[in-house]
Amino acid sequence: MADFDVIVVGAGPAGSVASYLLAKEGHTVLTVERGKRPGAKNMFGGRLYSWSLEKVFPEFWKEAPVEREVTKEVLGFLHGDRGLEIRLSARPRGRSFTLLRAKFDQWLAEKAEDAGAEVISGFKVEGPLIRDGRVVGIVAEGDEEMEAEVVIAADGALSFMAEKAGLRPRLSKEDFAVGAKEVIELPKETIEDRFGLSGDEGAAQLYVGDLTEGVVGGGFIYTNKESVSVGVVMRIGSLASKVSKISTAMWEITEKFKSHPLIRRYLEGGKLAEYSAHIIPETQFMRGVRLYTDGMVVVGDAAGFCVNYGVTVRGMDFAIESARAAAEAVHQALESGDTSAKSLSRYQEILSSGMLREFEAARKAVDLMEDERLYTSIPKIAVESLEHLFSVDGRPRESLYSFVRKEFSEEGISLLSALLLGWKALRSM
Amino acid sequence: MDIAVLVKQSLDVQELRVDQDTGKIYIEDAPTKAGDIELNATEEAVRLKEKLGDKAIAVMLSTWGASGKRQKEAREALTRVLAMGLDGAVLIMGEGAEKGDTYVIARALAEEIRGKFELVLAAEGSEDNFSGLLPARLAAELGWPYVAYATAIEVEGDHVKVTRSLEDFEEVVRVKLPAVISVTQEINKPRVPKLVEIVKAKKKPLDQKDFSPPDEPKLAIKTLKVPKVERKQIVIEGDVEEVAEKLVQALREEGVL
Amino acid sequence: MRVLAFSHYVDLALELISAGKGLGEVSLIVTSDQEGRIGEIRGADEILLCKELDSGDQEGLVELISGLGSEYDVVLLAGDRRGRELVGQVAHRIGASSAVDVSSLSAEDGKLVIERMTFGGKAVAVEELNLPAVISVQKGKFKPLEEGEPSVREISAPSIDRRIEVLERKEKPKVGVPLDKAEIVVAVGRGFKKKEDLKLAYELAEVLGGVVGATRPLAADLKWMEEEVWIGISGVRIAPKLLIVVGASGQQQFAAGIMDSKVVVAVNTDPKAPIFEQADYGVVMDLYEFLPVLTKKLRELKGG
Ligand SMILES: Cc1cc2nc3c(=O)[nH]c(=O)nc-3n(C[C@H](O)[C@H](O)[C@H](O)COP(=O)(O)OP(=O)(O)OC[C@H]3O[C@@H](n4cnc5c(N)ncnc54)[C@H](O)[C@@H]3O)c2cc1C
Ligand SMILES: Cc1cc2nc3c(=O)[nH]c(=O)nc-3n(C[C@H](O)[C@H](O)[C@H](O)COP(=O)(O)OP(=O)(O)OC[C@H]3O[C@@H](n4cnc5c(N)ncnc54)[C@H](O)[C@@H]3O)c2cc1C
Repeated sequence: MADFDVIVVGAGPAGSVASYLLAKEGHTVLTVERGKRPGAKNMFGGRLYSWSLEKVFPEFWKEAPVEREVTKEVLGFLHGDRGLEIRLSARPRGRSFTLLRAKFDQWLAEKAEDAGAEVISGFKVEGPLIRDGRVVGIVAEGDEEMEAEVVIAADGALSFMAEKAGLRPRLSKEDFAVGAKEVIELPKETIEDRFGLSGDEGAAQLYVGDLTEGVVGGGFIYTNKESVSVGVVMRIGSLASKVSKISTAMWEITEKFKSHPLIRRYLEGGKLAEYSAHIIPETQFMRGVRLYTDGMVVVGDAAGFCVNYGVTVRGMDFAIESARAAAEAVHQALESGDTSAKSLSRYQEILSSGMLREFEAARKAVDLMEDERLYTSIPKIAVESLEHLFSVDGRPRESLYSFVRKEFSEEGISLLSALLLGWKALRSM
Repeated sequence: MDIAVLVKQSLDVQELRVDQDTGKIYIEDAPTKAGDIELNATEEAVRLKEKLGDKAIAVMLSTWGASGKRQKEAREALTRVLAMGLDGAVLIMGEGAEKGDTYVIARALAEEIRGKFELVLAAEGSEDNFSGLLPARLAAELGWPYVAYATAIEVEGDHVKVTRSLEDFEEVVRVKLPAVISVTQEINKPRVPKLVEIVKAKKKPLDQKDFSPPDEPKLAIKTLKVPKVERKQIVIEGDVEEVAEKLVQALREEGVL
Repeated sequence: MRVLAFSHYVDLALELISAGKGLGEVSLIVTSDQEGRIGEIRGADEILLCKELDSGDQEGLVELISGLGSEYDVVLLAGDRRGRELVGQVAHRIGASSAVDVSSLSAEDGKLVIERMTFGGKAVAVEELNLPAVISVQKGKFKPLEEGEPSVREISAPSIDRRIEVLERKEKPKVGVPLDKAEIVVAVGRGFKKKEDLKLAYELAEVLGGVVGATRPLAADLKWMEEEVWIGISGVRIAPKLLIVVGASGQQQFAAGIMDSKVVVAVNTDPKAPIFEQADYGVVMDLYEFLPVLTKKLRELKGG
């Protein structure tokens, strides 16, 4: 007899949701988390799209430690010390919330615990325990073995679990992007004032422009209750060729972003509460990932279910949805007494008829966002054109049309391809 | 001979955030844990018990109120010491305990200890307060001898031989049981529990009791201030020669060379 | 207010007298082994000489001080290990309030108001203690008084039912220049791989004319230092004009001991080590690479 029906590696959103659902079904579940506490080491930009978690906990926002509901979306272009912001004030379809992971992950893990899962933090799992080509448990730090009928790898972007089980190739730097984020505390009233919010309303603001120096990426600001999350996301691949030390570069670019006149005014007088950096799996590598093997399934970031749109990243909702699908498949496998790869392939089936379609669409959009010009030329042209439009100094002026055309030709972009680019960008966001 | 180990639920001072400008101390946000030296006391209790074959029990009187968060942390801290090999734990918790001073807490703890244990092990000081007052007061309340700063403990019949480390000498003393002994960090190297031991520890007996203050405290905290320490935090960059050069230059300008 | 004071160390007793005089009349207990230094004692109103008791007898001291203590408002003890060991026991015996490592004290409305470090040095607690109060006073906070010849009264030691027997006492090597008085300190931590490597720190200290101190694990656990003295909340608090911290992470308990330093330099390979937040100048480098170069530069400077 195995020690547990299920061992879940990692108590991020994917791990905790899978633990919760399986414990609720009455299975014995052990969840092992490396951090001091669930969420202690985890960071993200700031916004959770709620559709998937709603299926697990309807109206979870009434109970969960979420910060604000996003009602204001801002897209910004930065060029030099100038900038342009486009503000959408509407409630888009589907709710989304800003939140802070340290609190939120802990809440989710407590849900799993309350349902009966054993959640143990401060323990690193070294890899899957493999016997006769089948995953039969885990090897924990100190070479300790622990057996389970099924192991769920929810260990995030770097997933050594998936790699060691042979479910995905060894990844290189180019397969990742990096994100850096600061949480800056400001009084509630100041935040509401500066971002034009009231009550629990929140803002999500994304910026592209020359701050990333041509690298695919950009900056973001999300408002929390009494703080704002500010940071940058950048592709490592293009970064690695430009700078030697990624971490210092990230820090410098974050500083540059924060001190841009357009951004600075949001943050003035704020107090730095934390700084963190994290890697983001790039969607391309998904092509080489398998989702299950005998005795194990992979969920969330570990499976590559994360979409990096360049400026903004989306992965929490996919992590939760994939965990839900995995829990359903694992439950059925345990009930039937067959936890072979064949039986666990149900996981992929459930995903194929649901989340994978949404995920594929999101991923296609990303391919369109690859165009580096979106991060260089477009912001420049947008900012300079508007600047031109609003400049009045009594001297004769070139028409806006001819100014814009000149800008485009300087950047080596034809008007047609510019329109296409704009259209693609809009469609993908 | 049953052993009690006093395990304090300490604020994790490393993670405690203070704001030097506003003087705000984010106590509620800071996590709590079993103090590091309590792990040494636990280790020593487990070693002694392995030799003596008796029971060793953790006793925790939480002084952080009784919120859900603090309860959970208290249980986690106890799970941690249980996983090291203790046989059970007593958790005393309740609103009002946060106002208790060492006088009140010692009296309440004595109730739990008297008649049940013959040896009490504690840390030389707790991680968040580091006063060392509690075990001393507990000994006085119980009328037992007290020896602090133990770096080795051996049981010899109804006595224990304790080596202790003081500023300018090391002392070996023989103490008649029952007794209270506080240990230093150097007494041993606490074992790191295995996963399976943590899983089992969650099933060990944990007896939770309500705290009711036996008396009024003798002191009150008026305020907590945040000392201002201003540091320049300049990181000097360059190759070794450059950095050394720049540092020497900076120190000369500071006038400290 | 009536104040009773005692320390195992006459030098610290002088500081206690100074602290106590701010409150009222001070009586100082002097044990048999301290009798020869009575002549140095200034500022106390009265000396209570107990020829029947040696300061090495902790049990006897608890009994003696508890017996006398009920006649006083405040009992002052010193912040060394044995001093601290007495505080809780004496306080409890006489039903008094207590505090340790007090950095300031004053009488207000029939209470004793004190300040002391808490939360590993991140905060200072201001506490109001009911009288009687038994406290230990932080070392080096009060300057010994120069004036005032005390009267001497002999007292006898109470008889006790002894339960602690001292079997052996081994002296530790004496400290050269005490850390807390040093102007320049090089503090070493576990970044040093072996004892012999400390040579690098001693050489640096030598050109600077400073002394070497350590973190607790290095001094107390590994015992790499000749003297078992470390910097921090459970050790010595230092206040040099220049402190160079080498290969120490800067955990809160260590950091609490260096707050009063004027200029702090940190050398550590880990840019995220908390010590950099407590330093004026940070060097993110391997100490084995950096120290020899720094020492050489300083030697040139001092030589030429
Ligand atoms: C800068 C940045 C911004 C982002 N912004 C957003 C956003 O705004 N919205 C959004 O939806 N998504 C965002 N994401 C993506 C999102 O954070 C992830 O997709 C999501 O966290 C994935 O959840 P997960 O549970 O799969 O993995 P994780 O959250 O990474 O959790 C994995 C857990 O496993 C633990 N673990 C790892 N290895 C081991 C081991 N060996 N043993 C034990 N435990 C282990 C880790 O400590 C961690 O707790 C962002 C990501 C980054 C980096
Ligand atoms: C109640 C309590 C009281 C305590 N009191 C004290 C006290 O008074 N004083 C005290 O010091 N501690 C005290 N401690 C212990 C304290 O918490 C820390 O464990 C201790 O200070 C760490 O010592 P360290 O910095 O030498 O070691 P570590 O924390 O191990 O740090 C070693 C550092 O060296 C760096 N390093 C490694 N190699 C190199 C290299 N080649 N070049 C440069 N840098 C390198 C590493 O990056 C690391 O930061 C106390 C603990 C408790 C619980």
